[in-house]
Parts: sequence; C-alpha cells; structure tokens
Amino acid sequence: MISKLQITNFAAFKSLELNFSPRINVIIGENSCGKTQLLKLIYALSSEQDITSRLLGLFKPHNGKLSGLYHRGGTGKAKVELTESSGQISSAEFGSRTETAKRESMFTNVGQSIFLPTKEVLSLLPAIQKKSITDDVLVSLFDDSIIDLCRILLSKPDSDLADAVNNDPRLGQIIPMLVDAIGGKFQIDGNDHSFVRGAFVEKMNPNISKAKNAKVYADFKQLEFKKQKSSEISVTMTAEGFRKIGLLQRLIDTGALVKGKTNVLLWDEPESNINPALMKLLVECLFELSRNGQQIIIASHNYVMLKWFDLLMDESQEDHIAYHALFRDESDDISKESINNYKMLSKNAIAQTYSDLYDTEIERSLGSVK
Amino acid sequence: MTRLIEKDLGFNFPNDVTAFQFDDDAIHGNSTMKRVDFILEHDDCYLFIEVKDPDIPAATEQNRAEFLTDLQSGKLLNSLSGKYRDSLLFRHLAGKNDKPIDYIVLLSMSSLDPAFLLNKIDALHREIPLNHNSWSVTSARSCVILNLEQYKNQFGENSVRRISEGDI
Repeated sequence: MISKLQITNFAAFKSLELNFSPRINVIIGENSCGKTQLLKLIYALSSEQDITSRLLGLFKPHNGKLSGLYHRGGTGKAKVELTESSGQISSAEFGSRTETAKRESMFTNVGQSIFLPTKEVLSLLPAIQKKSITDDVLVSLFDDSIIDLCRILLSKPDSDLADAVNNDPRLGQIIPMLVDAIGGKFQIDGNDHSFVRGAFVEKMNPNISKAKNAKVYADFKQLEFKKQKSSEISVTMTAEGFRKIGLLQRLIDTGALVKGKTNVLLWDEPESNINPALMKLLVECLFELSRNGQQIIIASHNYVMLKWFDLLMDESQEDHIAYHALFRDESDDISKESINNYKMLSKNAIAQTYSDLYDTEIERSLGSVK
Repeated sequence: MTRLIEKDLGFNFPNDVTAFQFDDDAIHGNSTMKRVDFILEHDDCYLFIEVKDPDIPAATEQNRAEFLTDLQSGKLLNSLSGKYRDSLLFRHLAGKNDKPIDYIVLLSMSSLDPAFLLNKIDALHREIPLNHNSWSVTSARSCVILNLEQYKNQFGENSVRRISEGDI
C-alpha cells in the first residue's frame, strides 16, 4: 500500500505531491495533465527492477532517452519518491542530460503492483502465449505496462476459479457478479483462449438432504460455474467492453487480486469501451476489492463512473475515496486539488464539460429570446 | 416593469413584454386544464414559464425528498409536460398560437448538477413531445429546465429574487 508520491521536474510535472487513500483514489483531469504518467511512475517506482529500464520501457520517451522524461524548463535534478505505508521509500533521480537514473532506495518484500492500461489486452494473449511474435517485436509495439499485464494474465492460476469463488467470501461475491454481467466467463485452457457462456449456480452437496442444504446455503453459499454446451467463442469476437470485465475475472482467477498479494492496483481509464450500463457493476467490483483490502488508484475521464463512485460509496463499510484533480495553474504548471468529497471538487474538468454542455443547450434553446 | 410572484420567488419582467399569471382561477374557472404559471408575450414569441421551487426555505427535508422522488420517478416530468400541453391547447383555442413558443421550467434545486438537468431536459422533450412524425410543426420551439443561476444568466441578475431573503 502506498501513501505518498513526490515529484520534481519529472515529465509533465514541475513539482507535485500526492497523498493517497489506503482504499480508492481517483485521479481526474483534462487530457495532457499527466494522469497516465502518474500511474506509470507509481508502477515503475513500486518495482524492484532497474529503474532506468523501467522508466524507458513504460514511458517510451522521445529518442528512447531518459532526458526525454526531464520536465521542460525545469532547473536542478528530476526527483521522484514513493512512500509505502510502512515507511519504506522508493526513490530515484536523474539530471536533464543524464542517461541513467540513480536509484536512491527501493521497496523490499512489498507485493508487486498491477497496472491496467487503457488498451484492451485479452485479445493479444493467444499470440503472445504461442510466441507468434518475438520479444523484440513485442517491445517495439507496446510499452512495458501492456507486456507485463499479458504475462500476469497468462500466469497459471493459483487455484481454479470455482475455488477462488468459494474460498474468499469477498471475491466470491465479485466473480458471480462479473459472470452475470456478461453472461459467461473468459477462460484459458492450455493454448485455448475462449469466452464461455454460463452462470454460477448453487452447488448441491450430495451428502446432505435438500432441507439441510438450504440451511448451509444461508451460512455459506457454495457455487459452481455451469457452462452452456458448445457455447465457446473466440475472445476477439466478444465485445470489447466485455473483455474489460474479462480482464478483471482473469486477474482474480490468477490470484493476482487475492488479499494482500498486490501492492496497489493501478487502472488507467477503466471506463474505456465499457457500456455505461456496465459501469455501475465495475464500480461495485472496485468497491468490493477495496473492502477486501486492495488499494486502488484509477485515472478517469468519465462522469458516469465518477458519479457511481460518489453514489455507491458506503461509509458504514469504511469506504473511502480520495479524488485528485489535476489542472494547469496560472503559470501553466500542473497542480492538484485533493479532496474526499466529490461534490466539493472545484477543479473538476469532467463536471465542467457537462456544465458547458448545459450552458450551450440553453444558449441554443433561448438564444433568440433575449 | 411587471412584477409577478410565485410563492417565495418574485419576478420582474421588462415593460416591453406583456406578462401575466396564467395559473389563475379567474381565467380558468372550474376547468381541470393544467396551467403553466406565467405567460409572456414578446413581439416575436411567447414564453411559457413554470416555476418549481424545492429550495424554498420553508420546505422541510421531507418536502425535498418527496420532490426528488417525483423527479426521479418521472411524475414531475409528467406534470410539467401536461401543463405545457394543456396551456398550449388553451392558447390555441384562444387564437393565441401565432408565434413560436419557448417553454421554460425554473427549477430551484441547487443540489442538482448540470448533467442531471441536461438529462431531464432531453426527457421532457420526449415527454411533451416537441416533435412527432405526423406533425408538420413542433409543439414548442424550445424547452429548457433552468436552475436559478442560469435563469439569472439569461434574464438578468434582478429578474428573480427570493422574497423571504428580502432581496429587491
């Protein structure tokens, strides 16, 4: 779990400090305010790998050089520092012309972070698994966040999906929700990647009577996935929004989101390609993961998603959201407003868009009256 | 300047406009026709104005909650559209349907955000409805829901005031 990020002279940021909620953090702001850069930086700093190659692989700066990540117009060194909730610090610095970053300190024995980029990746998995594309081609096509995620998704599940459902009460609630929403699940069986139609149904225990089973059901629901016969279709033929849900299913399936395993879940625009009707479900799932102890940081452009976060937050379940709005200040530097109540955000570019739409609608309707 | 009052809101309309309280039993008698609150006659158009004031200081939390329920259930939009249609019919039969009509709903509920109001504007367009495949003309030239701030932006800072606050 991370608590603080401090940035000086890095990429879009001259100077920025963010304090994170241990539960859910939502970064909002207009395009080119550096939302994705923040997520990638947290991802890079929470890794134990060589920081220079991490930064270059994730950001792919101009000319492939670290100097491309130095903040234009900055003076002094670029410094980035991430603080973990136990007090550990991961930090690095580099000059405007240096080619390698100096790692000052790093986390040890802290779980990996997971970064979910905007790009849909499930459809890439078969080709990557079969090694139809070489690593060199892969690296030239995608940044490291996509390649890393594909590898996590292809890793062998710790336990099968049904076990994950039945052994973790929280995840147990999420998986049937996801399966219900898209009418089935994505599965990887050896080299076979497919979407299978079906639903979770109550698992009957053959050793006890139906009446007894009803009592057990009330205490602890045992569920199993029932697939529809011959309903497999290729992943590419499913709707892209469904693949987003499938991504979450697969992450749970591989055990990546089991309590305490992942340091922080970073998700760039979870809303992309998601039908607004599925948005509520996605937010509910994120809340459930957060209630399960998973720290989450998302970057979002989307009013519907933000509004669902605002409306579904339940203080009695200790839900907590920190909203971090990025904006350009009077000197054109990126600044932030961090607040715990959505309605109190004054620098809300997304809500402002609706406000502009509303003004324009009224102007069009009443323009001739005045 | 014509001054009209709807409960706790006082309205000022410019002199070059004929403005009158349309929701008045003296006009309608025992008829059950629904009515918008005010009608304004401009040189080139008519304005039908309906005022909804859930932010009225005298309102209780329960009043506001009921209002929100009506807004969400569609009951309020149903009433707003009915008032417009009946008023339109009345004016048509009175031979006063000779200019374009703009329908303005003033909704003073500061907690509603623009995205919500935009959505309700679209819903009200469908509910009235403004257009129909069988019609050669629209039932209104435009139809908007304004919050208090937008109303003042459109018609001037002094166009409406809250009487209980003693504003002039």
